[in-house]
Amino acid sequence: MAKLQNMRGLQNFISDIRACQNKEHEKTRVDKELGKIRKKFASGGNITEYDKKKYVWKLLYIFMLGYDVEFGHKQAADLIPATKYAEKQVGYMACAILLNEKDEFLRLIINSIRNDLISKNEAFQCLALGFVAMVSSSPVGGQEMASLLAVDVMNLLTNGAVRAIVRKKAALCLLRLLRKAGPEADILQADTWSVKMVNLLEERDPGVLLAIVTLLLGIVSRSYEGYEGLLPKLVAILDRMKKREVQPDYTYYGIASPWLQVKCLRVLQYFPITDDPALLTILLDILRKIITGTEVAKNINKNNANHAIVFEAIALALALEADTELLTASVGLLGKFISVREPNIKYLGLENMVRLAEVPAVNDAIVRHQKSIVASLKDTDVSIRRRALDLLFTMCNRNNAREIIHELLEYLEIADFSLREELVLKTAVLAERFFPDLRWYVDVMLTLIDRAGEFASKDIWHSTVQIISNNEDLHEYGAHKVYEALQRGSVHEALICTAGYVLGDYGNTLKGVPPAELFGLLQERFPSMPPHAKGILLSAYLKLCLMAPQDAQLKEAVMEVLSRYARFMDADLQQRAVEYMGLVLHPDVAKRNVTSKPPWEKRGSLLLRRLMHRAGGEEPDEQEHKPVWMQDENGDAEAHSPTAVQFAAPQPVPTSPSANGHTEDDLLGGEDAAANGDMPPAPIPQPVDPLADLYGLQTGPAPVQQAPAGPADPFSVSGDPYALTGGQQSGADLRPAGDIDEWWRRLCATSNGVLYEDSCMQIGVRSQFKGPTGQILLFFGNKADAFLERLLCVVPPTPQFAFQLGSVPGRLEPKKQIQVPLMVSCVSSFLEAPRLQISYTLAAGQQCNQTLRLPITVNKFCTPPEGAIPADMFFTRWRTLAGPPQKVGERITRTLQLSKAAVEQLITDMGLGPQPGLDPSPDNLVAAASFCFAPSGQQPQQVACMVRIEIERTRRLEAQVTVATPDVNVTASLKNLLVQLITKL
Amino acid sequence: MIRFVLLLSRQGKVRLAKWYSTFTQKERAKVIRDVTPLVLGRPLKLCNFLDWKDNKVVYKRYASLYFVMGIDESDNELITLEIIHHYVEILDRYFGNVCELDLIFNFHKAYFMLDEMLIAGELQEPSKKAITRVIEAQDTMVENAKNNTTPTPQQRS
Repeated sequence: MAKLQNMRGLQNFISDIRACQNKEHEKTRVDKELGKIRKKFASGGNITEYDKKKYVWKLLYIFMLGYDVEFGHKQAADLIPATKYAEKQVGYMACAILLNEKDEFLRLIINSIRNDLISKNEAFQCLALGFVAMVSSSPVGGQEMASLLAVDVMNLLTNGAVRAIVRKKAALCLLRLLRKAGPEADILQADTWSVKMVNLLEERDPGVLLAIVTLLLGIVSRSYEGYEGLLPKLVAILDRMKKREVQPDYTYYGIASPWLQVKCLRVLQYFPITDDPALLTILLDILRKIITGTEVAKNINKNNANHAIVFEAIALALALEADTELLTASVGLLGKFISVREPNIKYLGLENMVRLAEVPAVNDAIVRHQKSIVASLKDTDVSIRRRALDLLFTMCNRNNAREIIHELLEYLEIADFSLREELVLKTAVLAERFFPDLRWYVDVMLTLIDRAGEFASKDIWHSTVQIISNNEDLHEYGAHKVYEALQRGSVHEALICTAGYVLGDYGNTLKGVPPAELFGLLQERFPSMPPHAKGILLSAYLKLCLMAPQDAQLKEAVMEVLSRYARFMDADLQQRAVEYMGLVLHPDVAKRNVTSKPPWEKRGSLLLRRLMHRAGGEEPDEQEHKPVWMQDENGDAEAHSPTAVQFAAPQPVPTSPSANGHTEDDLLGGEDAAANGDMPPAPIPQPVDPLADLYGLQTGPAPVQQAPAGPADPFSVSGDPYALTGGQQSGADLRPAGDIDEWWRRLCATSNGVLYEDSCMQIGVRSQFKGPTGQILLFFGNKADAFLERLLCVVPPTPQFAFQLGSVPGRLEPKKQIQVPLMVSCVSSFLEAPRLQISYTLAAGQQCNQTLRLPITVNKFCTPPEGAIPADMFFTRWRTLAGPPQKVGERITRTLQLSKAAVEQLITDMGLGPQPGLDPSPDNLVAAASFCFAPSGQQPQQVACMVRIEIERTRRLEAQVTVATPDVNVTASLKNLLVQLITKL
Repeated sequence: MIRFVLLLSRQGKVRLAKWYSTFTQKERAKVIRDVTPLVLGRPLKLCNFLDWKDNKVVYKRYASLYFVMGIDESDNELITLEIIHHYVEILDRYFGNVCELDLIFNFHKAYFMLDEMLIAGELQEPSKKAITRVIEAQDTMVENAKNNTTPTPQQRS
């Protein structure tokens, strides 16, 4: 073929590549070629222009195969200033493909581009315009490039002497500059530019006109203001198209430039409805002709082009608030589309119907097509199913809700997984919005929960429980329905949680079903439930047990479960179990304190909020589920996480020897924490003694001041102004006899030492860690000659750890020491060391309250590797963790010189393994270790930790600490710890 | 606007890729990686549109090649489909019964024609004849350069 220039070298190369049997062969061939090209380019001047061009083509081909050809970028850019068209063309095209607008090379070629733009050579101008449209207003060229070139481009567009081929490129190039410039830049001022646009719209060349209307679309999509005068022009263009006054070249399958028609109809949608009645009549008349007069042709391309215009016309009719007649005609047409077999038309019919469904006047007309819309839910094409779902959701109203929701529930059973979560949520929202009666609502929600399984979010079952408990006449019905579902064999977590709540509170309304049977049904599912669901079930068991005080067998069975969990690792479950055992054994106390949930406060729909959230593109996160104490007191928290047990009075329960001094109130906190996985610990417990007031004083206000986004830990260093300074001394004069932080730091690198000391009391620590667990002995010593009274020692639970604290006697004899064991196991990585709260009073009235950091730090769960790690292995891993948050560094400045030996000793004491000789620089130190934790009920897991400490060579007053681990928490906490320790070394 | 144009073979090989909004090299690779299986995996006789992230993908298969365009969610899908067809007709007109091999060995031609049809992600020339004319003029200019005659581009008067 003569017109295809044969570049033999290129053709041969492509043939070679095609002949390659596999990827390896291909790579070898490509590498060989790249080597050759690199050598040629490196050799300098003696390379012909033809060859240069050929090599750039080859590079492009190689680039398309997915290989890196970075070195060729410059060669390609070098061709742009060439004087010959052939080279320039290759240069521009290669740069457009290889570079993107952030590339540094652009800076080098801006001048050549501008020269081409203002040259008198049309072909060069075209090349430059095409290129500018590709990469314009790059950050490299900056605004100056955009505004500099914009002037040249505008001149080309408005100069009547310039030929069509250049002007249409200039128009679109300008559009690109406009789009990239951002809303604040005013490349085109409406007052001056709109006048020019009036003239430009007179353009008779259909290609240029299309480009100009496209540019106008770009302008009005930002703001139509100043351009209203163009409306008659646009309508006139449309009118001309409809009368087929176009050159034959510009018809497409017999249709006058469908592209131009679509663009004009789209531009018109951005303007407000014109106040010129004559113009509006003409326009509506055109639309009517398009919508009602388009016939279905045999040729698919003709059909497509026609329908593209029809859909745009319907959208414009909507925007113009056309009469009901026209809109009803549109609905009729779209309804026809939905029922045809042609998938594209069906898809677009559904999509466009969604917009019409928002117009109340035609709602009835749409409902007439409900059957074919529902049928589209079962289409083989997921794109179509998705649109049908959208449409059903939009068109649902009070009258057809029952039917539509029924269909959606049916569909749920067969829906794709990718659609399910959305489907469940939307169905729930519809049910909530349009339910004809409450029983029906409960039925729908329970069916949803049952069928959707893991796709039902927490909000769905929460709002079900909410509706049931807020309406007294639903109590029995709800209990009955849940009972039925359990009998049918439902096992999904959401349903079991719902059942736990509903049966616990209203199980007694079921006639002829003994609580023991309900217990049996729940207990069958109990073993497979996650901890937070188990917590709910334990509460339900307690209540069931109290419902049937005479049933000794039930009591025994419940006690058996509770006693098993009284020794369970999970702090929340353990606490529940222990407390509930107390309550089961003392029904009289329980009767006073265990009551049903109070009704929820009136509030917005949880589900709707969630849906909005999804529409916003982000998943709901912990932000939404604020910790309990962050929320206002009107029960907002309870709505999120319905609490099983409501205690009538803050009266202490004498029979609940809670392991860490909690009363039942923080069940709420505990459960919420568990339910949200990584939630912060329960609020500070209210101790069972007069100190309660004091605690209330101290802890009440502090959490309120906390930033909601911060780690909601009431003891966190940032949140609690007292934590660092060693607790609060409200009115007492017992002060620590030293620096608490210093003691703590020392204990981070040793196993024995002092944790706290004041004039009366000394607390010592001896610890031993192995893998994810640690045994700590706390020594409480009374130094005074008097009794220390009301000694309290509490480790507030945190989700990252499981604690077991031995019992602490209430008073300590003079000059005596006691030991309290504390077992800890690390459940997940953590940022903050856990806390220990102690308080005591002296007979003289002096008091001491302290919140201390426990020396349970990330390094305690670290073990050094056995033997030396090979350098390449270390550095490969080091490099894979590219940067924050897995790899973070911090610079330390000290006042004293830092010796490498001291740092090395510290690292060793901390339990990290220094790797001497690994780092090429003798002033640097690297270390490795593995951090170990064990999620509850799972095998221990390890996280490889890498540490590098660079000591500044000359003055030795600065050091850089870098930590890299795959776990962001480990990285952050280890880095922070090292910085603290080395700074104070 | 059109965000990207891809030509994919049935085996998923990229025959042409053109980007009209800013994508880094990494993002480009990801788009190709994500979109290719979506498009190739769809059975025939389904509709030619796909939701993909916040964009829409419009594609059509011609013989062994898939022509794929990524557009904005609010864009007109059918007219995009016809832009694809328009491009295929232009290729066909130039190569004469175009096949995949033509596009492999003359990939640069496919780019040139695309550049004459689309600019800044918008259709610039609705006339097949006009585009063919421009491409042929380019060929002549290149041919002249090869024969070492002085370039004779049309000079503006």
